[in-house]
Amino acid sequence: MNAFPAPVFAALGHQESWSQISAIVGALRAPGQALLTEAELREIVPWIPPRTVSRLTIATAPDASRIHGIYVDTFITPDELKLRPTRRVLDKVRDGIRAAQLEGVRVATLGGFTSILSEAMAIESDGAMALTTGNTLTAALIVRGVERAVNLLGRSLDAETLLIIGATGDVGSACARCFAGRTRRLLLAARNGERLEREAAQLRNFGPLEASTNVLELLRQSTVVIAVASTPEAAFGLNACTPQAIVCDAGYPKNIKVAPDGVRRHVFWGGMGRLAGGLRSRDGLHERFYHFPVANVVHGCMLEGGVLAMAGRFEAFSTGRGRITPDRVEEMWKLAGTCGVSLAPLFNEIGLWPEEIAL
Amino acid sequence: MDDTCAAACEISEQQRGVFADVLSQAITGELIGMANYAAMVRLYPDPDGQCDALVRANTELGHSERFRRAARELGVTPIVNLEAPYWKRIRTSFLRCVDANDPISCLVIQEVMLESFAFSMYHAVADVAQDRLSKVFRTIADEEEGHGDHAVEELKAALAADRVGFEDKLETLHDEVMTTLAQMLAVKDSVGHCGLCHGECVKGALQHVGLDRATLRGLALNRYLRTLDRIGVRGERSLAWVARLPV
Repeated sequence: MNAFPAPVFAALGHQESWSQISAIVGALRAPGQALLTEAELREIVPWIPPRTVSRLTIATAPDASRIHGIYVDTFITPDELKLRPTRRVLDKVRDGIRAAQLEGVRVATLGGFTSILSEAMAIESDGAMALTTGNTLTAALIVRGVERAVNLLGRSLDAETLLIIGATGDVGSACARCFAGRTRRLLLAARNGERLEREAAQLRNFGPLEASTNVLELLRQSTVVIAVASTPEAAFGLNACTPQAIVCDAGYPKNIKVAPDGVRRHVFWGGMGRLAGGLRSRDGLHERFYHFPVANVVHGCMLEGGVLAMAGRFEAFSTGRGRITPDRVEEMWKLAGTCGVSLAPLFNEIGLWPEEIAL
Repeated sequence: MDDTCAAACEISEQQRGVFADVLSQAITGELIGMANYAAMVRLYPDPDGQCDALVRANTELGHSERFRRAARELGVTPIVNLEAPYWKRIRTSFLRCVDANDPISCLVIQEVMLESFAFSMYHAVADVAQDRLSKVFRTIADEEEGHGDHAVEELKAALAADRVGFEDKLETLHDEVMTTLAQMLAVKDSVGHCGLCHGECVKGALQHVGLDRATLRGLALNRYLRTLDRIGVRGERSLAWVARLPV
């Protein structure tokens, strides 16, 4: 099959590890060709301009008509994810946007780390193509995920001390607003003390709140943790959390170093949605490289553009810079629901939560 | 102090040796380009097309002459060898397209593939070379870019007429020609001596003038992919092609 309908949505993204890149490049090499070593990949991958890597279809239901889209990889490398965004990285995001525009896409999501463009500068949608960060749907899925985790464990949100790591970011600040006044205490952590205080000042009226740049100190007090820091240097070990802590890791790359120490903690990957109609890639790349414990699971940040496209709303829903309000989170959640998007069952790298399996 | 001494005295013998080998590649590549355009004359039935091909052949000849002059000023004797294994293989592929009366394939080889390597290498050398040599490489790189723009428009039209056929043809050419070009800049030589270096392979000595093999290769790959993007080749197809290249 060579003909493929014009895509209406795009998801921009990147790979989180060299092993993931190795697997994808390996799948593209000719049969019999050896897999490239990490050293060899480092010679090639940084030079690849952002481009369409896969063609996708999604639908609101298995029997519904399918919407066509593309996945554009920016080829931001795992090494670049570890650093503060450079001009080169921002250029890659811009080039990725251009690649989507050339395909005639009407709405594009800045998935994963690519939404940092919205932190670095005001992103403006270009006439025919709307840009959305994907962060509102991500925030909605994190909020629903934490609610579900608390319920599954028979606990009550208003008895929990909730810590948000990365609380001044777009997703973190959205989560803070959504949980303000709903927990026993709200703890906010971020690297920039000045921004953190500004964020905290807006929420103090809702209930007990503490803000600090000292993550470890707050971790010791928290019973629920949402980790959405956009830097891996902030990664913390699970042993820093309290026993029985619920941990929602929604960072890119993952914020949490898993170090089994015999103490049970309830970790799940946050911001993951499940699409009733499924996501299929034309070349099978998506299916081959995104293995989750259940079918049809997609990162919320990648999914937001698809939701907007399925709903016929070609608009810049999420524009970055901490503008996501609880009302907007609810609006996106309802919209996603009409498109067959639900919260993915809670899982982590080991698999589904036992409590999910028991259901 | 004459020009020869001025250029030659500012760099070490080791550096002069590297530039000599780089100039050998550049001169040979330009002469291959000249021969390629000359061969294309018969593909154009109209006098305008024939003249255009001849003008381009002459331009490539002019480039090779300027590189030769730069070599003289540097006090080195480049090796010019149109039978050098890699270049001969590329030339053979090109002539096959001429024999098939296929000007589009010829343009792809000359203006997309060879140009990507030439443009990126010339700019990289211009960035590290001394004033006069730098100017020669930069000026010629800019002229090569002008050629490429013209070809992109022709190739866009060919793609618009038959996307799948065009991309399939490009893939075949890629596997043949880009594989050879990638081998030229790969870690290990697949053909033994390249036939242009004065001694051992220059790739291992590029750092003496501030260049390195991996960067040259990366720049060329980036240029090639961006050119394919401008033509309108689907990203997922060109990605699969470059994933297969030797490293």
